[in-house]
Amino acid sequence: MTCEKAMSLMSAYLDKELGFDEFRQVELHLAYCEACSQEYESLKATKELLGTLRAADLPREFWPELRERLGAVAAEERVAPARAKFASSARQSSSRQPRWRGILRPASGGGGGSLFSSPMAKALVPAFLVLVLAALPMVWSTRRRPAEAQVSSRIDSIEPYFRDYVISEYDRPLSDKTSVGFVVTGQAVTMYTSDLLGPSSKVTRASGLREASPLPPNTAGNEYTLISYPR
Amino acid sequence: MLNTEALAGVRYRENDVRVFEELVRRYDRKLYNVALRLTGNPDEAKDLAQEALLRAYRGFSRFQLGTSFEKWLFRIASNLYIDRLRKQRNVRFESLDEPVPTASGQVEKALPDWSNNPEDVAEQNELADEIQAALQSLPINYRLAVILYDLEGFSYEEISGILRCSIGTVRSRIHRGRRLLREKLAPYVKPAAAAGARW
Repeated sequence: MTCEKAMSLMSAYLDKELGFDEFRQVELHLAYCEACSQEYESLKATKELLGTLRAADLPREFWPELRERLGAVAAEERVAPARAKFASSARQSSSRQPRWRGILRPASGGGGGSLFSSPMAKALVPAFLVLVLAALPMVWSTRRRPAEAQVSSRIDSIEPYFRDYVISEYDRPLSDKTSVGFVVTGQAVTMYTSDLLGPSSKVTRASGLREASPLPPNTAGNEYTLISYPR
Repeated sequence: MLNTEALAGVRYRENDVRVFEELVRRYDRKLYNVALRLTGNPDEAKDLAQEALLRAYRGFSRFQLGTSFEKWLFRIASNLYIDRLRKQRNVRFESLDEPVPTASGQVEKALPDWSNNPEDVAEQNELADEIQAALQSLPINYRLAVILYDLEGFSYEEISGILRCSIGTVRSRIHRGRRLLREKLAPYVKPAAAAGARW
């Protein structure tokens, strides 16, 4: 080990803060190097001199003063989280409110109020709601009529096919002479079957089937549609 | 070792200040002495130590449980002092020893004497004052390392944790600091004549 290296490790050697190998190398070096030995002794004396400094006692006022400062910090920290929590919840509740709450909420200031803040508006709102509820069935029925007309016209278009089919089945020799049919009117659906036809019954091609129950007269405003198919 | 789990549990309780005080009491004198050796001034040392404890109390949520609270606390104090030194660089200091230049020549400053028996006090504290003055003259990094090792008994490893540097750096700082102190305190350093007196 060189003197330079030994010198650089001298304090760590003095403090026994070297690894085993380095410690042994410095120790061997000091055994024959006078200059490094003097360096070692002077550093050791310096360290011992520092050791003569006595530890000072804590000033008497240290903890009373610190306790006061800590108390102030603790009080501040107890308030701060609560304040932050309150502010946070206030922000969340306002952000959770639906937009309509903003419209209905009375104005807090004297300036521009919300839409429903005047007394007249407050009286008109329930009246308007009642009106809407009363008009709803009328609007509903009006909207349904086109749908029923569409269904009826659709049935009308297929009714001739079923009627012809039932009649043709009746005429065929091997047919079981049984058919079923429905009359769909605006008010009801009525079922008809060919079983009800007795052997003596006459079925005209014009009517196709005999009704199981009397149909309402086919007058204007009371239309019916016959639908039938083999059973 | 400090029960840091218990320390963590005291936060935001009614008596947390009292419990905090109980837990850190074991370090207060050591902390004050490090501050005293760093600053060389009892009032400044008291303020530094108090401020370090306040910061530890405030910032305890950043302390990693299971690690050394003592290292953490002394790191806070060291960093705090270094920050203060940086701020003080812009402040001009006036020496009490320098004579004041006047129109009729230089005049020695007349300083008030607050001690009852100045000679006795001077004799008793001469060496301590010299050592303190020598410490004050060291660069801050050397001063910190020497104070923590030679005066407060931390190990190299602990100092590396406090100062957040390698053990090699700690070793170097202590060595250089001691060599500078040896020069400053040359009249008081009396090495043993025989090198064989080691260990």
